[in-house]
Amino acid sequence: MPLEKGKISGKQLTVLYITTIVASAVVFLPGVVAAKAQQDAWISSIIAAITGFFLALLVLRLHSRFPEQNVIQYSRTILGKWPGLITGAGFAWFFIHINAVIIREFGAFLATVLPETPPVVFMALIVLLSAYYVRNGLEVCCRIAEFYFPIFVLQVVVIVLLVVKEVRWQLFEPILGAGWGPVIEGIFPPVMWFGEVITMSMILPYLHDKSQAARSLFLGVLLAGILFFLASFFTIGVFGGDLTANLNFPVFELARTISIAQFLERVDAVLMSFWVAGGVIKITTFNYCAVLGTAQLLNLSDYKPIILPLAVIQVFMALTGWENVGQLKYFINDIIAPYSLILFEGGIPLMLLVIARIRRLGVTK
Amino acid sequence: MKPGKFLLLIYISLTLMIVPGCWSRRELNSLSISQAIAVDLEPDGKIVLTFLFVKPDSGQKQMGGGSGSGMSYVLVSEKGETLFDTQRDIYLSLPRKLFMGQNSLVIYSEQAARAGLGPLMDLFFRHKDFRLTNYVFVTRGKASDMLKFQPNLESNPVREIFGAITYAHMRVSKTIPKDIKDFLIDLGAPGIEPVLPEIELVPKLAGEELPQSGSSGGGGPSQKTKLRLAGMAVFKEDKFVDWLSPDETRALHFAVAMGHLGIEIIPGPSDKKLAVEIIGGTSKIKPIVKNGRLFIRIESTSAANIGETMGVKGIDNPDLINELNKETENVIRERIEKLVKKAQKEYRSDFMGFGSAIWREMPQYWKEIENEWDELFTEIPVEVVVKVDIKGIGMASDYSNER
Repeated sequence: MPLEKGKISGKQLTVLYITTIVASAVVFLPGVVAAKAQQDAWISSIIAAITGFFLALLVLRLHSRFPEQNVIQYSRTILGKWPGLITGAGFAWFFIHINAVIIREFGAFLATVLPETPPVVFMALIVLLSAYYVRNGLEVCCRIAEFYFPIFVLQVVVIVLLVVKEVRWQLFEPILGAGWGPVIEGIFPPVMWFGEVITMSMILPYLHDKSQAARSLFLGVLLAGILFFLASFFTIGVFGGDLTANLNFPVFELARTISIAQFLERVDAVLMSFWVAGGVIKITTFNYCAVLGTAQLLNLSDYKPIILPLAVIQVFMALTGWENVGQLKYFINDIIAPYSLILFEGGIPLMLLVIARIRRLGVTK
Repeated sequence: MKPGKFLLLIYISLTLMIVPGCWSRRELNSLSISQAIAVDLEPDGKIVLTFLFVKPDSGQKQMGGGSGSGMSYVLVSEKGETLFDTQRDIYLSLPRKLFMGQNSLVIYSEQAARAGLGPLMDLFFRHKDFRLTNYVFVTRGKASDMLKFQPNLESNPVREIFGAITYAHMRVSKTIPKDIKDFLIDLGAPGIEPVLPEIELVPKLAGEELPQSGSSGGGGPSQKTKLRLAGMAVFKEDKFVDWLSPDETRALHFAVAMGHLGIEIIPGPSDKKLAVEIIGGTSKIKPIVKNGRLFIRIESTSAANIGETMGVKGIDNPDLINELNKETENVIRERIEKLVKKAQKEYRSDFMGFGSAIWREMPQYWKEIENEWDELFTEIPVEVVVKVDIKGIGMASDYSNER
C-alpha cells in the first residue's frame, strides 16, 4: 500500500523545486559566494546553475529507470537489502540533518533581527507549521508552494528593479581579476543548494504526468538560476565584493538600501515575511522527504505518527547542533560542501546510477 | 458542517481577535526615535555620543515656537568606553526604548576621525537597526555642536542637514554625499582611500539675522550660526588626514565623475567675468603603460551652458564660445592638477582611486605593485585631459546698455 496517494502536476514540481532552492539561497548565499569569489560572485552563480542542470539530470536518469520508486526505495533495489537499507538510512539522515541546518539558519536570521524573542520560538513555530503541511500530504505542500511562488518571484524582481539606480558598474571590475581560481571555489556553496534537487527524487514518483518530469525540473533549475543570479549580481553591484562578503544577510541589506523619493523605503519588513514564508516551504520539503523516507525505511503503513517526533528531533538538532553563529557559518562554508555535495547530492546518486547500469536494473530504453 | 464544529470555528476566530500579539513589539509611544548620532572622542579615549531624538507626539504643531521648551526634538548625551556601551547607558536617563531604525545621519568629530573611523563605525554596520544608507559627516570641532543650530525651514536640524546634502551636490558640487556603505566600500577596495563630507556651523551674515522675539532667555540653540556643507575630509585607510576646500572638492567631482555640475568662474574679455554652468559629463581615470612606464590619465568631459555674462558682449559669437570652451578647460584642468599635486605630495592619500583604476584595468600588474603603492603613488605622473563643450547660452543673447 503506497504511503502517499497524492498526485502533483509538472508545474507544481517546478514551483516546489524553485522555492526549495531559492528561499534560503537569496538570503544567505550571495555573501557566502562573495567571500570566495569577491566581485566575480555573479560568474560563480551562473556556473553553479549550469552544474545544477547536471545534478538534476542525474536525478532524472535514476527516475526514468525506476519511475515508481524514490531514492530510498531504489537504492535498496540497486544495492540489495542491507547496503540499500544503510544507504537509504543515510539519505533519511541527510534530509533530517540538512533540515536542522536550514531551521537553524532561519532561526539565527530572525533572532538577529528580532533579538528579544527566543530563537526556539521561531524554529518551533516554523517546524510546527511545516509539520502540519506534511500531515496533509504532498498535494497540500505543493499547493502552498504554488500559492506563494508568484509573491516570491515578484519580491525578488521588485528589489532588483528598485535598486537598479544604486548599482555602481565600477564595482564589477576587475572581471576575473584573480583568475578562475576564486570563481571555481565560489561555485561550491551554490552548487550544494542546487544539489538539493535530490529532494525531488522523493517527489518525482508522485508526478501525475511522467513525461513532464524532465521539462519541469529543468525549467525549475533555469528559473532558480536566474533568481539566484539576480540576487548575486545586484548585491555585488550595490555593495561590491568586499562588503558583500562581510554581510551576513546581503539581500536583506540590499532591500534596506531601497529608497525611492524618500517615500518608498523600509520595505525590508515586508520582504522578511516573504522570506520566512519561503523558508517554511523549504523546510516543509525537507521535512516531507525525511518523514516519508523514515516511514519507508521502517516499513510503516502510515507516515503520520512520526511527523511530530521528527519535528521535535529536528528542532532539537537545530538548537543544539551548533553552539553559535560562528560554528554554523564554519559548518555551512567549509564542512557541508564535501559532506552533502560529494556524498548525498552527487556521489551516491552517481554510484547508484552506475551500478544500476552495470546490473541492468530498472527500465531501459 | 456540524453545529459543534461551527461553534469551535467561531470560538477560534474570536480568540484570534484577542490573543495574538507580537513578541518584540515596539509601540510608537514607547519609543524614542533617534535621527542623528554625533560621535565625539575625548582626549582620555572615552567616547561621547549625542543622540537627537524626535518627540513623536509633538509633531508639526509646535514648529516655529522658537522658545526652548517648544522644540520637537531633544539632544541626549552619554559618555562611555565603546559606542554600544554608551548607547545603552542612554537608558539610564531616558524614559523610552531607543529606536535607531529612523537614524539618518552620523557625525564624527575630527578627533574621532583622526583616531580611525573603522572601530567607531562597526556598531552601525553590525547593529540591526542601522541602515547602511546613513549619511556620514566629519566636522572640525565637536560633533555634538553640529546638532545645535536653529533650523530654518525644517522642524529639526537633522532634516535640515539631510535636505541640504540631498540637493547641494547636484547643484554646486562642493560637497559629496557619502553613506556608511560608500565609506566601507572605499575602505575595503584596493587602491582607494575614503573621503567624507565636511559639515560646519558658520556665523550668520548680518542680513540673515531676524530680530529676536524677546523671550529667548536661557537655552535654545544658537540663533547666530547656520549650517554649511562645504569641502571634504580626506582619509588614509580609516584615519583622517586633512581637509579639502570646497573648490578642491569641485576638482574631485570633475576628476572622479561624482557629478559634473556647478558653476565655474571664467575670465572673459576685457577683465570681465563669466559664470559657466557645468550641466553634466563623464570622466575616467585611465592607467596607461607606455615604454614600460606607468602613468595615469584623467579624462574629463563636460557639457556646459553660459549661466551669466556679467557684461561680456557678443556671447552668441561662435568664436567667443570656442574661446570660452578653452578657458573653462584651462580652469578645470588647473584645478584638477592642483588637487592631484596636493594628494600626492601633501596628503599622500590616494583618495582619487588611481590604484583602484590600475587594479580594475590591470589586476595582474596591480598585484606586483600593490605593496609599494603608497610610495609609487606620490611619484606617478598624471596627465589631465579636459574637454568642455558649451552648448547653450540661456534665454537671452545680449543686452545693450550702451549704444
